[in-house]
Parts: sequence; C-alpha cells; structure tokens
Amino acid sequence: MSNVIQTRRCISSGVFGLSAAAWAFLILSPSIKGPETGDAVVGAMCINGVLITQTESAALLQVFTITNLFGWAVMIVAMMFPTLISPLTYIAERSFRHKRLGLMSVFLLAYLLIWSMAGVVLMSVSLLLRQIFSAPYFGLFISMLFIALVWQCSPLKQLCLNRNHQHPAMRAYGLASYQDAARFGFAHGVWCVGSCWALMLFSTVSVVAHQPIMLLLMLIMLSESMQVPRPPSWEWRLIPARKLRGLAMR
Amino acid sequence: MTGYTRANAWNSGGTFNNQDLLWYAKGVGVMQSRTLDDPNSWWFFAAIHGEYVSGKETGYPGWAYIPPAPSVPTSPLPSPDVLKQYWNQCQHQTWYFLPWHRGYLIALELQLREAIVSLGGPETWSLPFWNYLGPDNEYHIPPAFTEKKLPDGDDNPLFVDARFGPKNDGNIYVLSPPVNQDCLGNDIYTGSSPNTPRPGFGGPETDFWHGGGRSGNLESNPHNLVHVEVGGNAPDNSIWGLMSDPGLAALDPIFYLHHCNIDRLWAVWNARGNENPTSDKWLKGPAATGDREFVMPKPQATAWVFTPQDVDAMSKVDYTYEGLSTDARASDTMSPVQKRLIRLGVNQVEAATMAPDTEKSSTELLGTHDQTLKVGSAGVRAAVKLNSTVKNTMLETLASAAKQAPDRAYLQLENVRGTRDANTLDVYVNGKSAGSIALFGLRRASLKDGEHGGSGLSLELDITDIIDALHLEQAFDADLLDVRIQPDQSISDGEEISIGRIGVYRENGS
Ligand SMILES: [Cu+2]
Repeated sequence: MSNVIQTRRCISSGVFGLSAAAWAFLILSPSIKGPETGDAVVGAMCINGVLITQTESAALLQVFTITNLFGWAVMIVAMMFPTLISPLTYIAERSFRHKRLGLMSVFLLAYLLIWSMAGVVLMSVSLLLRQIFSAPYFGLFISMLFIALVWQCSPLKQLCLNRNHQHPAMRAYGLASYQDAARFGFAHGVWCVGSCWALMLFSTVSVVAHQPIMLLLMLIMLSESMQVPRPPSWEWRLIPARKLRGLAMR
Repeated sequence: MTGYTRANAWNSGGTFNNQDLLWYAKGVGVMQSRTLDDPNSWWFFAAIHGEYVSGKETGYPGWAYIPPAPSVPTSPLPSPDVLKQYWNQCQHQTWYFLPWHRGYLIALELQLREAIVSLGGPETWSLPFWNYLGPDNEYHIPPAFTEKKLPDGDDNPLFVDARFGPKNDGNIYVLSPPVNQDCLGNDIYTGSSPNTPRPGFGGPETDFWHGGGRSGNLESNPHNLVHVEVGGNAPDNSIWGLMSDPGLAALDPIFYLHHCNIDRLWAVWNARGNENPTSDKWLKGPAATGDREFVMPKPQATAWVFTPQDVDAMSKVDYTYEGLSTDARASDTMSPVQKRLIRLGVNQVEAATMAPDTEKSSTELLGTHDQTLKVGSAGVRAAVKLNSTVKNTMLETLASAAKQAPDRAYLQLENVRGTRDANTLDVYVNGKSAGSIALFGLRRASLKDGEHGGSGLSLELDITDIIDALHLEQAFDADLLDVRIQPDQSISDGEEISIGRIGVYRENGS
C-alpha cells in the first residue's frame, strides 16, 4: 500500500472519529435540549432546533449565547470535518513529522473560526426570516428550500467547489509554517461556506425531521467535496447520486 | 486469442513501403473526412483525449487557431450530453493512465481497421508502434510522417505543421538521454519498493483528489518527455506543437504510435513477470466510485464502456506486439537495488541474497526551499535547507545498508504552474544531474477550474543516487542542498514558470 494512502486512511479515521463524537454530543447532551415545549421540537437535539424554539419571541442578542455558538461549532465538526480529509492529508504529507499534528490543528481551528463567523450571520438571517414569516413557518421552509436548490445549481456554487480543491504551497520552517496552515484553513473555510451556506440555512429552518435532514445534508456535502472540479455553469446537481452510491460501495 | 500483431513502424525504413503506415495514412484520411460531431471522426477521437473547441478560447491552443495541416474543424459540436459522456476523458497523473489509454488505442484501431478494409486494405491491419529507443535511426520519427504527399500524390494525412521537435526546427526526433526506459526495472505498479521509486511504474492511486498531480514512472519517462520533445515550439516561439499539449496531442497522427509504444512497454513489463494492481478500486475503475466511466465509440457509434480489468492483460485483448517474447527476457542480471547495495559497500553475495523489501514504506519531509521561485530562460538556483535530525537518521540507514534497507530520497518541485507545456526542466543537485522533467499537462493543471483545482503539478525526481554519492564522498556535511533548475527551451517574458516550493523527502522502506 502506498504510504500516501496510508496517511489518508489514518486521517480519515481521525476526522470521522471527531465527527462521530460531535454527533453523539449533539444527540445526547442535555444542555442543548430545547425548552420544554414538548412535541413541537422533534429536532430539539441540535442547536438549530434550539434556535427555532427560542426565537418565537427572542431578541437577537439572546440567540448568541455561548451555548448556542458552541453548539453551532460542534455541529460544524459533526457535519463538515469529514470533508477535510484531502487538505489534511496534503498538510501532513508536506510538513515535518513533528509538526504535522500542530499544523493540522491550526488548519482546523482557522476553518472553524470562519464557519463560526458564518454561523453568526446565518443564525441572524434565520431569526430575521422567522420574524417575517409566521409559525408554523411553512412558507419559510419552502422559500429556503427554493433558495438552496437554486444555489445548488448555480455556476457560483461550482466555482466555490472548485476552489476547495486548491492546495497552496506551504512553507515548512518556523512560524511561517503555522501562518500558512492558518491561511489555508481560512481560505478553505471561505470557499466551503460559499458552497454550503444555502444548505446550512435551509437546515436551520427545518424543524421537522431536523436530524435526518442534517445527516442527508452531510452526505451531500461530503460527496460534493469528493468531486473532480469542472467548469462552472448552470447545472442540475441537487444530489450527486452516483457519487453517493460510490461512497456506499467503498 | 491474438488475432492481430502490432509491428514496428520502422519496418521497411518507416516509409510508405511499410504497408502498416500506408494504410494508417489512408485510414486517418477517412476519419478526417468525417465531421467533428461524428463519434467515428478523427476530430471526435482527439477530443475524447482532450480539447479546446467546446470552450471559449480566444487564441491558441483553441482549435480554431491551429495552423493547417490538418485543417481542424470547430463545428458542429456534438450535443451537450454526448460531449459530457465522451470528451476530455484522458487519465494522466493517475494509476488509470495505462488502462485508459489501452482502451483508447483499441477503439481507434477498430475505427481505422474498418475504414481500411472498406478501402480494400488488409483485414489484419494493426496500429504500428514507434520505438524511439530502438536501434539505428529509430529515434527519428518514421519518414512517412514528414512527407507532404502520399505515393499516389494525395495529401498525406500523417503530415502535421505544428510539430516542431526538440530543437524547434521541424527536425523530429527523441533525445536520449534524457529519454530512457529505466522504468522497466521497477517491480511495483503503484507505490515504491527498493527497485521502484514512488509513485510506481503505473502511477499513484488516485480517487476524487487529483491534486497531487504526480505522474507514474512510465508516464514521466518516456511518455511525458517524448510528448514535449516531439511537439516542441514554433521557431518564433509563438505557439507550441500539438504533441506538447494534452488538449491538442491526439490531433497529431504520431500521437497514437507514441502511445502504442507506451502500451507495448506496459506489455513488456507484465511479460517480465510484474503484476498490475489487484485491488477492486483499480480493477473496476473510477466509475465504481461515482466518477466518470471509461467509454469509447465503436464503429457505427455504439458505446463501449470498459474498466481496467477488461484490458489489464494481453490475454484479454486480441493483439500482441512484434518482438514481445524477446523483449520479455530482461537483459540485466542485477536489479537496481542490488547495484545500489554494492555501491554502498555491501558485498555482492550478500546483496544478491537480500530479500526484496515489503511494500510498506513511510515518507517524511527532509527539507525545503520555502520561497516561491520564478523560472525564466536563465534558470534558477536555490538552497534547500535540510532538517539535521531527519538527515542524520537517513545517513545512518545508508551507513548500515547491509543490515536494513537504506532510505531513498526524492526531490519534488511543488505547485508548479505555468502557461506552456512544451518545456523540460533539467535539475541539478550539488552539481550532479538529477534528471529532466517534462512539463506535459502543466497548463491544464494550472487552470483554476481544471481537475487539479489550479494547484499545479508536483514534479518529482528520485535523487537517491545523488545522496548516496554525496554520502560516499563524505561531501554531505552541510544541512543544505544546492539545487539548480535549467529550462530546456527559452521562456518568453510573462510566461515564467512558478515553483511554489522545493521539497526533499526521505522514504524509509522498513
Ligand atoms: Cu500521451
């Protein structure tokens, strides 16, 4: 077996492990269960569910509690980390052995920071929208689904996906190596937010079957990240079914 | 069943006295008379490999800007679905390189044979190969390709204007060195072994991520080098030759004779007892994991979908190569690793009995030159700073070569980007030649929306011998390597090649 593949397998188990732990936390942790509104919150096990149940009357500031932001970050770990195998393998391959773990951590933190900032924006928008639409948010659900579908098919979406395959040269020595890892993490985060924001926004408004929808979205985003770049154009690419089947066969 | 024999194009002097070449020319003529959107046409086949006709090119290498001959049509385009199914399939920098190109040759050969038979030609016609590493004059392109007219006075479809050769003067031949077939000494298809530098004879295992951009050993040399030497650049440097660019190459009829030789070398390598990958992932091809399938138009435009396992042995295809059984008897009695061990002071008997190593290996970074380099005509020189701990670990394995497998070392030019493929970089380490790397595929790998996401190519050279020599000369004290990179061809202002980083790696085999 070639050692590149070996390194990649090692990293795969790492990120899938982290993702699984994050999923377990989201499902099991009582601290982010929604308020006791009972049957209204089928998806209360996750931060978006919390957001939705809280915002019936909540002010903007109340939404950005430490708990909510932490919950959002955990959700990103759960849903997004599996898409990072290729950049992480790249970093590991090209850095000194004793610095590999440190550089990969810096990359992941930078990536998380970008998604947290995106989280603040997405949660605000979600809140705003919820004040425009009224419960039970059926109209909101449909509009967000529509926006997500349009974005999925747009050339801009393909452009963001392509940029996620860009792996820059990284300096190996000194502080510069950490700077480059951080810069790579920021850039990767930005293009990742660019390609996934619509799906994530959609997930924040889907109260019913929230968890299965999140799982489905994760699979879509994972399989998208595994596609070879192609020229951006309008294209029907809702669910990469062939790729998903391929993933299942692996 | 081996119904057909692919023979040496230099038989009968490589002229039109060679019936294989005469009929090849006539068959190519028939295919060239068909339209761009006809799956049986010469143009459609070239586009299956790669094309610059469906996009918005505003200059060369756009197909509209190719100087005739041949006059390349730019319309009518096939329907978007057909285009998506067939065009731009070529597999480079991956372990699918050999099986994909084998199927491609088979499909073209079927088309040509049908056309040739329809003209009253031989039913046993097969594609000839150009063995540029053969004896005598065989390093020259067979003369039939440079004639403007066929013996009967018609235009020669094998003649191409944009074919400039290694010195850009229209004199087409292959320079050796740097071109060689040392890769036949490899014993691993993918990965590395004491006899095989990474990424192996056939190329690296790839899936969704092509970002590594690393060619297999057969693909690097001779394949890539021959492409850019034959293609070359126009004397005024305005354009490059068709063969120098994957999106143009298959328009030149010499392309298929070159690839026929690459396919022959794969067959020779297998005939010498080396094995192809056995993992499902290779056997079933990228389609099994959701990527594009390998598909070729057969005559009458029926689709032939194939996988590597359909073509991975000569017993599964209906042709063989002239001289295959002779070539199968390797002439060298000592393997590359045995020679190396003897150089490192292990005695001959011991070296001969040392067990070939396992395929398990681990690589780590040994040193880098961290700044981006711009390569112009004058070349560039850089100091690679080594990590002394890693260096010492490696030197210890060289000193105790009798007890354990000594490390290998690689030099990698990383994130190499540029706009022109028709060039070769000669690399020197501490004044010793480390080899030459062709930039075939560079332009496409530098496109942001290309399959490498714009990360460029990683060009790698095995520098184990140089490190061994420095170690033996006790000239390896400093933690620095002096690397000099010299382009073979001049580089115009604004066309500089950029190298993101130079990395040196050690590979431990135990
Ligand atoms: Cu080729």
